[in-house]
Amino acid sequence: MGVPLEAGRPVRSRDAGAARRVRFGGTAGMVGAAILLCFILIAVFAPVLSPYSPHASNFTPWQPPSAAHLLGTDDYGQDVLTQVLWGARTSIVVGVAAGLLASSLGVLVGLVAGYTGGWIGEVLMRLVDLLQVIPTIVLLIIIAAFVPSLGLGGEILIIGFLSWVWMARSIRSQVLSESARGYVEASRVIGMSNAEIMFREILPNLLPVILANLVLVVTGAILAEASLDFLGIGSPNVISWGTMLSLAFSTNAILYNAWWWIAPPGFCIATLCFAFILIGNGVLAMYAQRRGSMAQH
Amino acid sequence: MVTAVPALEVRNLSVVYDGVGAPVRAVDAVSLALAKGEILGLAGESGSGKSTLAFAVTGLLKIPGRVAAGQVLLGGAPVPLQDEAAMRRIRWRRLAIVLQSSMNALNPVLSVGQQMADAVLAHETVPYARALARAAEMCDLVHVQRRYLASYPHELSGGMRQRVCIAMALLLHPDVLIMDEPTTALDVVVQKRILEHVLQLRSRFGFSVLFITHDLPLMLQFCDRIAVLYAGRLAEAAPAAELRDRPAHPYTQGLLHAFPTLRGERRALTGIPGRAPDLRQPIPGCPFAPRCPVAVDVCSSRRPALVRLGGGDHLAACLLVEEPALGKGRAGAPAVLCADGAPRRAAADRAGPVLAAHGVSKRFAARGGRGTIRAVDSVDLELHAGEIVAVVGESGSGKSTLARLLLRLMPPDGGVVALDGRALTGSKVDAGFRHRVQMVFQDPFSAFNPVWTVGRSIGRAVALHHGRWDHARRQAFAARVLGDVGLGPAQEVLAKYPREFSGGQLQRLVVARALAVEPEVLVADEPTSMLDVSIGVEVLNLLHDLRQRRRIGVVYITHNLASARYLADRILVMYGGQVVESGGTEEVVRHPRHPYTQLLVASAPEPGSARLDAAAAELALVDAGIAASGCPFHNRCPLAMEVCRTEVPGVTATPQGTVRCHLYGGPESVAQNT
Repeated sequence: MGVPLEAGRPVRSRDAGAARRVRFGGTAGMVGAAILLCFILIAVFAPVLSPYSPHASNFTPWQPPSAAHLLGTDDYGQDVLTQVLWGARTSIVVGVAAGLLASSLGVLVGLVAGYTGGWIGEVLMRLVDLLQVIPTIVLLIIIAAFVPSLGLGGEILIIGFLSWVWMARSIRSQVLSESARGYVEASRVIGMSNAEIMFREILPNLLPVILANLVLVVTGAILAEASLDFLGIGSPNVISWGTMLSLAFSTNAILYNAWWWIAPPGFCIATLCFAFILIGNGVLAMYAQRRGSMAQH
Repeated sequence: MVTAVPALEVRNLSVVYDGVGAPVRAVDAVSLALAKGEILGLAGESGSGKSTLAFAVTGLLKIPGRVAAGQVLLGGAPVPLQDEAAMRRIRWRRLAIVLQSSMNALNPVLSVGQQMADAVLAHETVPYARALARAAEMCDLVHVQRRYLASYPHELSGGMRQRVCIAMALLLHPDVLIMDEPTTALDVVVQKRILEHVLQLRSRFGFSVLFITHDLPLMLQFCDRIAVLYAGRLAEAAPAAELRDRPAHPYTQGLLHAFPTLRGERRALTGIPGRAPDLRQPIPGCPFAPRCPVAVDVCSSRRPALVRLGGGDHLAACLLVEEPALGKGRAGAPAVLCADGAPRRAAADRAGPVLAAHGVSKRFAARGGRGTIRAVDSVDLELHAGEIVAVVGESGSGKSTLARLLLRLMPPDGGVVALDGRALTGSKVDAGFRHRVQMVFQDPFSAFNPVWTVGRSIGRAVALHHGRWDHARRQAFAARVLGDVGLGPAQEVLAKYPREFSGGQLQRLVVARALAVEPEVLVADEPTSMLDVSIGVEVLNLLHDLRQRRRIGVVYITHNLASARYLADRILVMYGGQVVESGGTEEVVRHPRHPYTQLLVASAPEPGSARLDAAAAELALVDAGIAASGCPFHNRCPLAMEVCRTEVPGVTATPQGTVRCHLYGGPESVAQNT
């Protein structure tokens, strides 16, 4: 998935190539982890790092970056840097919480559907098909028509329930291939219960795939949160990068050339997502290495 | 022959694989000569370097593999191994190769004829029609009907695809044909026919063959001369009969005594304990020394030279052959490898069978959803305590499905499985059944969960069935079970992960886990097919030993009739989901009654039997699949009658056993009424 296949280049060596990929994946993963750590620190220490109160809106609007306001001010007379620092909290909390929720659902459904098969698996996968064809954004807009504001918890629930489907698919296919391996049959012959086989025997083997998918789901959740806020369905009272972009958009910041208002939240969203993708690649590379060493025998 | 230029010569060839850490010396200074029209066998187990040698000779080595030293000569002229363009001209034209996986080497989207014609056109400028005509002629020679030229590979059986590959290799009349495990994936009956056809073609075109396989009995029947590789080095080379009767190298001796036979006395086989050396490490002495039963101290430090025995064509690399004085006082030792007389089990138990199947059937939906396949068709099987029953059949015979029905891993569509004479119905399997019937798996490499230590996996088996035991008692029991399969020390073994073990060790661990629930019955599904022969024999001996000491009954499922004879008291032969014949082991092997069993016995490679006959008559249409109606074997059977095409034969019971064939009894309906 995330491991480049190096098409077109002569395969120098399976061993050496894999080692190089692992090294690259490992480095990339470390870089991703470092970036993520920075964002977490920013989120945790936002009150300390912020030059002003997040609710202070008594500055002159539309100021370009200056010594007093490193990233300028917005239309409402708020300090952009303060907004960006506090916004990290929302993005990380919603991203991780919704990502975990979606992953748990996806793993549970994928595992049960893949291992049990039969009519249970069939019903679950049809449900997955159904959810997959619902256009998320349209659904969100409809929800927005009924619910004026979701609040943080609502956002997490909505995003979580809408993004487990892809995870369930990928887990199910992995479970199918694991189930064909001898140890699953061996576990049955030994007399283990289905629950034990699913959660103690198969689940640990899925861990690398779960982790790699988890980071992608988290990435998606961060973007979804920004979208929700951008559409104005999120919580207007909560400071987030999505809200910042939404406000910048609605006040035509781009026409006033107020790049300092648009670029920082955009950059942060992109960088945070990028960090998660790097971590995902790193996890997959580590997994490939372990699989490789097993395949030697 | 001494003066003639060999068709193919390998001089001092060394091949290494560069990787992380030290390079792997896969082929180490091997010299071989293949005379014109000769068939040279290259024998060896996994990791011996035999396939690497084939790739190196054809210039098909892939990076990280590289020829580190040595030369390959074709008709006396050096082969430009480094020049890919020149190699491309030589390959196929003068040196063709048939690979183990070549059945999958055909392009699925091109018709057979098109691919064969392309092979001609790649080397010669002839019209397409002419190329196709040559393909058709070659198809005649390998006994593939011309109409299949218009077919696509998936429409052909495995045997036919391999014939097509051989035909394609011979299209340009090469001087040398290299065959790397060409028939390993095929059933023995098909294998024998294909090799007979290769012999016919050889006498017609006069090409030489380098025949690579792990199957020594097959090689003894098929080859003029045999070279044995071990750990990338040439251990021994001799004419086939000479090698069979007077093997000089202890490894060859061990290998020859690792193959069970169908004829002659039944002997105990010992296999070769240990595992092949790590080729990353330098091996100063003889690579076989750690496993050698007659090794002396100097064997591990001094590299043996290849010496000529009796001034003839027999070469061996063993210090004890070089200097017989070294082995003084231990000269008789090799005989230990073929100790005599595996004891037969005493008379069958008076008590009823422990595990039985009565008329069990299982159908599967056919691929593409058209109709059903009778995977298992009203099979009866009885296993008494302490008995070993072998189920022999080729791929698709339904033997593995039968194993899963016996283990109640799937419910039968018809018939019942009974334990102690009590029929087991319903899909729920209680712990009591699992406690008494256990399984040994075909693939030891995947039978353990890679994320847990083997100690945890075996510990779970103990805990599930001895829940009341305390920790210490479970530990002690796990250690005892390991002792039973010959592994130790327990603490160390149990703390390791599956990937840290060799295949043979893993299969012992699989048996140990099964024993951890103290079963009375083991169902072993091809337990040795993934292992090297010298290792697999040890697993068979372990099963035999467990029966002797623990009175464990074993259902031994295999495609290899000779190994069934080695291990089993009774044999069931399966074909097309039916038990076509059953009876006492010697009875079935010596006096097979069903035409399929007869064909199976006649096709099994035997080290002692006559060489393959190039002019063998076509007894059966070997490439035909299982017949959909009537007797499943009727379309391959040389004795088929009209009734065989329409009616399923019933089971005829005789004092020697049962047979399911119209030659011996009526159709099914009659048999069921009686």
